[in-house]
Amino acid sequence: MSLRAIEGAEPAATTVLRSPVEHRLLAAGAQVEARGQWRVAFGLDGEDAFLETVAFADASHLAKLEVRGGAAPAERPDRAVVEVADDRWIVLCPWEQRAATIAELGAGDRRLALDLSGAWMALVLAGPQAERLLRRLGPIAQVPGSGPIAAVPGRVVRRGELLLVLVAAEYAQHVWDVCADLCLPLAGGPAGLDAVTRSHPDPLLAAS
Amino acid sequence: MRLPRRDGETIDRDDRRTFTFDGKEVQAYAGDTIGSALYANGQRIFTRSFKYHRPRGLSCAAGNCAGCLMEVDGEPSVKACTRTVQGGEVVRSQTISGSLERDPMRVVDHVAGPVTPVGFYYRLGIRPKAAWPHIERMLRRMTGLGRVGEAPPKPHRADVEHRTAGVLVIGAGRSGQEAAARYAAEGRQVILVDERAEYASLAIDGVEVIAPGTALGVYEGRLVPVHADGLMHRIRAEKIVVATGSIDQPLLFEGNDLPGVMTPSAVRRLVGLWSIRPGTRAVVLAADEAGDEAARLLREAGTQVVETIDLRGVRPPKVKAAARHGLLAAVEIDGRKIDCDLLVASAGRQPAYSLLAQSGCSVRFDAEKGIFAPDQLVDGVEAAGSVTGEGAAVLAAAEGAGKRTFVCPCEDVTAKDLVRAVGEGFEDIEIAKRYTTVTMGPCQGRLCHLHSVRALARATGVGEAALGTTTARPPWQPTPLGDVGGRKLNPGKRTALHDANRRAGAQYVWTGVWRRPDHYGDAAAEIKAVHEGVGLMDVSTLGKLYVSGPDAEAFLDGVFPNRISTLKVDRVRYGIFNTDSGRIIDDGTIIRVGERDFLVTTSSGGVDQVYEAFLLWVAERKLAVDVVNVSGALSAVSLSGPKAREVLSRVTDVDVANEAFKFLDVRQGAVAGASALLMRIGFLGELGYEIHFPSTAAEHVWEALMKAGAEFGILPLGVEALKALRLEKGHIIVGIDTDSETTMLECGMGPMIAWDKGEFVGNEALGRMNERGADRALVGFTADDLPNEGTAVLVGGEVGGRVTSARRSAVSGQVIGLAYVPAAIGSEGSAFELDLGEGRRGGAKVHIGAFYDPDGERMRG
Amino acid sequence: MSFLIPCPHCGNRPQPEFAYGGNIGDDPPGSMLDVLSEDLYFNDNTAGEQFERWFHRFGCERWIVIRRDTRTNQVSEGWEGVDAP
Repeated sequence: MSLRAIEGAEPAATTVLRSPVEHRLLAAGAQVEARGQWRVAFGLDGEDAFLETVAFADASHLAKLEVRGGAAPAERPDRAVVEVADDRWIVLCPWEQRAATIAELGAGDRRLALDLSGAWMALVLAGPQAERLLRRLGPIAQVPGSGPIAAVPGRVVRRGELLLVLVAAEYAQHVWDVCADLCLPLAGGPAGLDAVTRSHPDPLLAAS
Repeated sequence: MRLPRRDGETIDRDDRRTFTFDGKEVQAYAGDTIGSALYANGQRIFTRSFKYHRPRGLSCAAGNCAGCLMEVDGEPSVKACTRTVQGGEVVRSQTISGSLERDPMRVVDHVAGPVTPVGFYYRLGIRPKAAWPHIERMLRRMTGLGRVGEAPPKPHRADVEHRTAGVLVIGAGRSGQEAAARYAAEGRQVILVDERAEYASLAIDGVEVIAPGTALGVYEGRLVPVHADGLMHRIRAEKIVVATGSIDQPLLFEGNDLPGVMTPSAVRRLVGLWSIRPGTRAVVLAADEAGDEAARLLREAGTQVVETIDLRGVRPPKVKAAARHGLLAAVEIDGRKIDCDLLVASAGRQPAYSLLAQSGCSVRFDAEKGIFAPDQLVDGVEAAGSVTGEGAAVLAAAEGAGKRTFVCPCEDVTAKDLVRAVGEGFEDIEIAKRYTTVTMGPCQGRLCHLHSVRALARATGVGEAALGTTTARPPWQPTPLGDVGGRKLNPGKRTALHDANRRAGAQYVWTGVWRRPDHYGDAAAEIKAVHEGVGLMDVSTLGKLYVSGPDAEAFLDGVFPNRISTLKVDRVRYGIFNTDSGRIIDDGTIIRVGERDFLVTTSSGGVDQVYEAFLLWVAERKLAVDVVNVSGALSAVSLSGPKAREVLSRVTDVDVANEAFKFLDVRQGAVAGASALLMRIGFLGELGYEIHFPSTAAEHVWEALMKAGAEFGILPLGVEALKALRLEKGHIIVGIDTDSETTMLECGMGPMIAWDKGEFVGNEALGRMNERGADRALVGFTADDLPNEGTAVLVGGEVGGRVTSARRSAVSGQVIGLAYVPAAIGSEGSAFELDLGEGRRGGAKVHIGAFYDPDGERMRG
Repeated sequence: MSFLIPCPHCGNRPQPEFAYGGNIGDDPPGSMLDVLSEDLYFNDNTAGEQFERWFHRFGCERWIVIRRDTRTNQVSEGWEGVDAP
């Protein structure tokens, strides 16, 4: 392989990495701080109340790896494996473990293990109405599964009581806006991932 | 008139609610509908009819007819008899001019009837032609149901909830409840839906009840939209049980639409659910046991039942209803006049099979019972209860119906109208329906379908079975269009630099699905910056496909018309992507980053179709190659202008010296700390670099480049600058300068094609066209006047092509552009004319090659 | 159009999740015009069952083949790949 921009090359320590919805989060009143190279949002108004009904949180600072060929990547508590087809997966892991995970998953008869972190927005749906929000976002009949999310291609897996949704980063702001609007009649809204993992501990999501 | 408390009533007398009707306050109980509360308060005329402005009132009390349409909180044409009272509603009568009781337009009924027969508007105003707009305006004012936007609409959401069900049962009557309970006991996930509010409190073990909720239709794949409380449930069911029952059919007689004429089911609901006495003196005419039941209930409610006639097995009597002040006052039966304020009339019950028919079930006419009943069901759909036709039967209408015998009260279509339509030649059931609009009103054929088929069958003499039925289509109940349409979703793609661009003053435009900066306030300054200093453009919208594997080279040789196998590692080449018929669908670059690894860029809008076409080619030939869509993973910027090298050198570890990093070279290295791929290309005509890097670092890289370029006056570039700059170079933009027929041969790109390399996409078609020669050519031109895009090219006074792009050059001040011209004049210096509109013509001359820096010294320098 | 397509990888999915890739022709080539023109511009337009290619945009991103009755939209089966089974 030889396109280094998608092979997990480590950016310089001073490089600032951003979620595709950072500016939506800022507009929603989030505070944003540097955690490693990433800017991560936290402390949104009303987030704890939203978690009583339904909240959605950005987890785009997770590494998202495109893995092709070979056997299905092993599940781990701090990893989410999203199956696209029987020889293709998207693997989410904490950003710090990106290089090690690429090395681990790229070994053997694997065809590709690429870092496509910027290609996806990872969105976490939390709260008792999370399933309902998913049903209003689109006709995805099964979780884990795929299908339209706010009319664009999406993928969903379960993390305990949480739902983890992936949509193309180009559509991140669109999906974020639709989510926010759909949450209004459900008395829900955006939350920081910190608030979500306080009530739903998860070794993958709480890693940063 | 409310009766003393009765067993089984659905009203809660301890929970009083009020709403206003035409400004007057109306008392109601929880459990009332707007219709029931109004009736209990003595209101009898609820609305006026569509065409003749005849008074209409509650006639079915079950949401089956259009006798109670009202405007509720700004929503027009609400069936008041099924809309539950919440309290505080503002209800207004509709389809009236004046008041409900005194509507001056009712003269239409008295005088205009003979001159406004069915279909009159097709014949009216044809001559003189100028009269039609006036007539149309008048008709629009006089007719129609309700008005949109008369009252301010309440804030309205149209959310959709996508559901699945093991079994969806439609209809919560006895059979529906039994089916739901049975499937729930088997462990199936059951949803039970009914449009009637009285089932809201129904509880069956293991069954989810949605009531009131209307199943609007049955679509392919057993998809049933259920409209409930402003929310659309789109339910995908493994099995559907239709238990929609049967519907009381009106009796056809003169004056059958008067307020005071109602079906037995209306009596059952008024007395049984809401404890209302329906009238003081009643006559009952019915063809099944429902008549007896209605008579019994009326007596219980204190209504004097003057006479009950069972129509079964007797010679049909001649019935005529008479009105006083718009309300039923008496009925004449075979000439015998009986004073009454209530006439319960029913011809029997017709199965409500519409949803079954929508699912694909066939329907046949049962001549013995006089009904249409479902016949062959389809897989996964069951019918339960009287919808199957069990226990249902309908009397044939009596001969010689009068001029106010309404077959279709919704649309004011009389029996005579149908006979007239057949007389005019509209004999086919579907054509007659469209001409007369019978069954097309708010009842959706619930009350008029059977009668209209039977009337047409009689008029045509072919019989109901041969005449058949109209096609059953959704919706089964009128529904606000906003709720059907749901939320307006217009997904826009945004680059990772969207907000950075906005902060820089971007004025956004839609370019296909993308939101892109058109300019940042001054497009001319942006163009100047590229020619004289440096400009930075967000080109993250480009599609990017990573192509990797042992067969990658062979694959790319197969999908592109030029030869890719000769492309060296760390070099980039322009490529065109064609259809099998040799037409251009996209263009981009092919970048070789390894022996078996390539990055292919596509146009902003073309990536999806190129990706799918690539995968098809791979699958057809079973090639060992992976195509990875990395469009979102990588962002890209184009840094252009004489100062580009200097700016770039400040943020990268790549050697950018001209001899180390030549035109069409590719390098990989760090840009502002991010891992990047850099290539030297010259789409904008000056020294230029296209830089691809992870989207996670997009803003960081952008800011670093803007900062490094500040001392050279760097400006961000929008789409307008791009379009102008590339035009100077004569570069085409696929989709602007090409259409669905454009070939490479027409664009002067024939020499790019490697004819001898064997099979590639479109090779046969292109080869054939190459032998024949192209008819037209896409060429550059200079002109005196600036034409619009699309301006006709005139050759010898005849249209011979069109302008695809044109601008006034910032460099030469000349008008430059691209146009299709006949191939015969596609050579340097050929003159043609442009049709500038309003009779003006302008001269133009063909120009071959770039307008600016034709030898490309600036981009190679 | 809401019929279900049995994607061999993803299961039954609504048709709007897929992009249509045309039917797999079974006419004897060259019966009307020359083979190329017929391939490019003449569809079989079958009233009945035909094999079709569909691309699953909202799922596995693979080309599949289904047998569909064009009169009823009944889809009897789906297969991996791009060739008629």
